[in-house]
Amino acid sequence: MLSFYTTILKASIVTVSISLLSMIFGLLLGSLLALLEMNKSKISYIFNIFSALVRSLPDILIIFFVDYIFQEILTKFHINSNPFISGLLSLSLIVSAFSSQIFIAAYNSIPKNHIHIANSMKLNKLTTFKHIIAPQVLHFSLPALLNLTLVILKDSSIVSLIGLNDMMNAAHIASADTFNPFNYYAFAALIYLIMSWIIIQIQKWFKVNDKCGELYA
Amino acid sequence: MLSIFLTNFPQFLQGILTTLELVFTSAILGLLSAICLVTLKQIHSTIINKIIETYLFIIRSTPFLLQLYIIYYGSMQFHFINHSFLADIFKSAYLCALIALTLNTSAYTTIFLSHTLNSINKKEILVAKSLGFSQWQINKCIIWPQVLIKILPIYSNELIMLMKCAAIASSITILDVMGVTQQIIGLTYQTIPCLMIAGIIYLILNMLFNLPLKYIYNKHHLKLT
Repeated sequence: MLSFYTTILKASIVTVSISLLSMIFGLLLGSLLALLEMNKSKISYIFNIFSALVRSLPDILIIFFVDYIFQEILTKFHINSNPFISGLLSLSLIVSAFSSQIFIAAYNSIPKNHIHIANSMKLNKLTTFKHIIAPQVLHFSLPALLNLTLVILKDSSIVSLIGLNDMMNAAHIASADTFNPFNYYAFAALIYLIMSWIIIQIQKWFKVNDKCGELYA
Repeated sequence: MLSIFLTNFPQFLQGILTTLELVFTSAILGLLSAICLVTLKQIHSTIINKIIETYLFIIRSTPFLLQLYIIYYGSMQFHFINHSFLADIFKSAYLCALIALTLNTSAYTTIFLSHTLNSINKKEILVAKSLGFSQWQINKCIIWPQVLIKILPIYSNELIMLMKCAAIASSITILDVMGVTQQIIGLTYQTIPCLMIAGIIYLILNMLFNLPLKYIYNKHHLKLT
């Protein structure tokens, strides 16, 4: 029966990889979405509505929706769809919606004087972004982004409902074989606890040691 | 899309009622248990604090689906649950989902209730003590009215997260909105219209939860400053 526990350990790699990859893609998309949302032109309200929709609908609905559309598109090209990629797409969408709000809030909490001073010193936009805006936005948004990593780590368990072979699925198969569901689900819970503990320690370390906005605080 | 909704309207209505029942009962039970846990935390005893901190840490770090599966599938492994009166509780999917949702919301609500309690002006409590208020009167007239109003924006966020977690309960064969949608997708094979109907229902439920709380907050929060 030791082999079921090692199966769950091997499946934890899938969980970690899908959450980390969706955080990376989601942060890239989210910064783009934040730029598009802060623009006050006539078309940009569509991105506001999109982000509000993705934030308020249940994650399970978004995952099912994106999975079905992805499968439909891929079957037209006769490729087999992968639950990993459709889970990655849907989780990145969710991360982008939440992280765009975090980036907008962080941008709005930079003191306005800094941008005026940069303007009066005739720094071009790339230099202001690189030296003034980006470090302060990182400084303000990092705790919330680490919170978001915790949330996405837990949301990746829902992707097991589509068929991804992650920890939940491995524990489900193990519990169907031997009729001891509590052992394997509790073992999966222990692995989730360890991963969350690591992220919480990273959060505490950042609180003490953040050098991102030191010069500008 | 409207035709699918109208032909299957009784099932959708049943699903909406199940979701509303689940969310309301677990929200009320969660809020009450969170208030109990926060008052326990105010006693400042190390053992009780450690127990509550471990409970909060476990519920915050594990996914809701895992908690649900442990309560629904995992409880049947134990002999003392299987052969006692508890078996009826843990066999029914609705009660298991209710227990799991209540545990989840009470954990998150205790966290921000304790933060809000710490952010009350200590001077008001000092002045009340010097005027001769008893602890019960301080709680009733000064602390809890402020805290309950300050918490409303965060609590409406928490209600939305509760609703999202209640949608996951459909994986345990509960016929809420997601469960009914999956049933009707199996009947009619029209996935995208059914999922869009479910999305619209969830948006309407969101507004149903948010607007009353927003109205109450706007009416009362100016009295606090």
